[in-house]
Amino acid sequence: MLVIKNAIIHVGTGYIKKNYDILIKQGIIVKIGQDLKYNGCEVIDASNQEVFPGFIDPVSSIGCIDKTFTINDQNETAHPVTPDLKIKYAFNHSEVMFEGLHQVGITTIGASPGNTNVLGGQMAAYKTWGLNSAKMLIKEPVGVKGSVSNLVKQTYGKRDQAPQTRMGIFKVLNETLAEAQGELERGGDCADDEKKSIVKKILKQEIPLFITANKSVEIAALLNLLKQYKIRLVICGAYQADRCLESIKKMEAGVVIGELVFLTAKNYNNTDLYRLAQLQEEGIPVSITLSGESGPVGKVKYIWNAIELYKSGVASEEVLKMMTINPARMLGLEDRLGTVEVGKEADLVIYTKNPIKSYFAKVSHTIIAGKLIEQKGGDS
Amino acid sequence: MLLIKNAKIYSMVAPAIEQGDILIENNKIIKIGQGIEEKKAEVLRADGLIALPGLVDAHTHIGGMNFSQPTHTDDLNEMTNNITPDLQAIYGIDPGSPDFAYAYQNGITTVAITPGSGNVVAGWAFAAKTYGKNIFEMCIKNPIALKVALGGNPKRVYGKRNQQPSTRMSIPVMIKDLLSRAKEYLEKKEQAQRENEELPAYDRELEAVIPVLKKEIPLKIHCTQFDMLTAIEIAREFGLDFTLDHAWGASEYLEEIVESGCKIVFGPIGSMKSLGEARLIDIESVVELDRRGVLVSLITDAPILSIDSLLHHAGEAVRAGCAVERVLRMITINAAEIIGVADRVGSLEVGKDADIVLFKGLPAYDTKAEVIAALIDGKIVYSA
Repeated sequence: MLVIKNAIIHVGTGYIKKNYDILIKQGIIVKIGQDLKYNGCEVIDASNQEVFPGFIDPVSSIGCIDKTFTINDQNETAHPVTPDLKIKYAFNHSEVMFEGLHQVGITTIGASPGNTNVLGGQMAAYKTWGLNSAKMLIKEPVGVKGSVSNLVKQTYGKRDQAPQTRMGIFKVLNETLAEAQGELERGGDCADDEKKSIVKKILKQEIPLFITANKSVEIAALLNLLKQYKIRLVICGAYQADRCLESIKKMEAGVVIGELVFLTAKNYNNTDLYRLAQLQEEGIPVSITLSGESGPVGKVKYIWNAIELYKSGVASEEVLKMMTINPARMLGLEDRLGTVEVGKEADLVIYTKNPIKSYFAKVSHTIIAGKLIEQKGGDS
Repeated sequence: MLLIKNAKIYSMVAPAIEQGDILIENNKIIKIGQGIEEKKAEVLRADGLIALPGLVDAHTHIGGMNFSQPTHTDDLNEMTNNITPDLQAIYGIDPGSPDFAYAYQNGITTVAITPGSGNVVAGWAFAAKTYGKNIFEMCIKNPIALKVALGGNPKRVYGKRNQQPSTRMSIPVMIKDLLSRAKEYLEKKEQAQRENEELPAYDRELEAVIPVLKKEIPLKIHCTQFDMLTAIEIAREFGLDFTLDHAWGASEYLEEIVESGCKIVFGPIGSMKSLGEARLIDIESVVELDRRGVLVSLITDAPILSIDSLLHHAGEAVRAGCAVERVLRMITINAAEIIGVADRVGSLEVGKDADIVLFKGLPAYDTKAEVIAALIDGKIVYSA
């Protein structure tokens, strides 16, 4: 048992509770209240400190990729449609990029294939601390990851294989979905391979589809094509999604705003973060990530991206939703993670101040599945 | 004349002045203090604002690189020859790049622009203001350093062509060879001048190295982790001034850095990590380096990271335990000294260029600190 005493709790739903205690038993938050009675507990005195739900990066190839691109296990570039592939076979929990994500407060990632394939494979959600990936696994699959970005064209087009153009990308996506949809409508028994059966799950809304679309042309085309299907869509990258808000609302698609600082992505795309964040008022989940056009970046940028949103004028508790409950919803984990509430898993980060508002905020504790994670020296 | 009234002034040379005024004439600061009155001056009210010297980023590639699609350009890596000391970054720069506007809109008024790290010896870096239409007019000083790259970048570029360097072992050999030839050339030249003899045949490449040998400019050495020891050895052997640029892993080489007398150009951070060059990306090292008296600046490597992330970098140094006032120096006066332009910029002092930023909120502490006005050469180039 663990008790966090006298904390400022950022629930993750927009509410803040001051001077509350959190009681954790067997990895679960069992009680939140003032002056809780407890015996035989490990105690963290969090007076004047701020407790947040552990942060979640919903779409990340961290663990499957390295800086020198010698691993590159996130992109199977033999064929543009590979929904049968599973990221869990590529995910290395001891990869150097993955280590220490909890040091900034990230406690869950949606491990996912990259951006070279129209449908790249199945995602898995992992906690960021544990002995091995089987023990860290939260749920699998949590989504199918695909892309309609330039990287698809570059990958296949340069070999004179389809798709070489944006037309080609959308043809491939449409024929894959249409074929499965046709079989679903006809009913009856079709001999399904793994590829088809996972596409059918997307069409039956049993599993969400995460598609990277960075530019407004890509996003608009994606939404236009997919409106004929019933799909739980999450748009990733989405740097110019502020220009497609109406069609996003109609589709009720989630939005994962790609990493903003690396290669000056936000500035070059003229991303209007404040406008994008208004989607939340319509009930559309918006989230942030460490993944950019060319892959993931280092962990401190997760906080910087939150700050960019706050700087654009978005309220800090709204930004916090983008780091917690919204990505949890996207991954179908909102019953287990994403808020500080009774019954949820005890994935928490305690900061000395609110890191969205002040750089002078340090992680004092990270708790994953109720367990206090030892903080190593903080490299960035 | 322009009079900035009632700002909290962080000059970088004296304690903060509450409710201070700055008087500007032409492009220079002519008076700083409290209660300055000047009837002829236009007044810029700065109530509740913080005045800082224009920020300085000591290592960028803006105007010469853009790695985002579809506007991909790289005019700062001439990867056709691994030793190119006589290349000048200034000829690779397009001042129409939007990165310059992102710079001054976010308070960064001076940048060092350097060739990339594709070559072992890459060429001359220069310093420029961030506002203007003609890079040669924006230029403050050229050269400010000779750029040299250790480690993975030149190795990857040339190694895959089966040319030198394909290993780290070759890199110091190549640099020392150039420096030795330049030293010999310089000695011959000086001897000829002394004895009124015929000068040796003009060598453009070696001429470009002479300012380094004369310690007029430093070597600007791209290196991280254990490559720092190689850099220190080369510089010591030839008695050169030098900066360690990027300097990831510096916390494991504190004693060697202090002893070498070099300056540190640290960053960017938040990069992908990997074993080898990017194993340890330790912003916390700047806290200890600063404490031990090493001149440290923080950089973005823009546009590799967006130029406005300079403030995030400063914020991370604060998070790592450095006092805000010390960190602000790392993006102003320290950076200006390191790139050799502190006579003009980097602090708010009488006689210096009127490059001034008015912030609402304390940058490096308050994440929402916002530029209300930016002045370059006494001219308001941006106001919110």
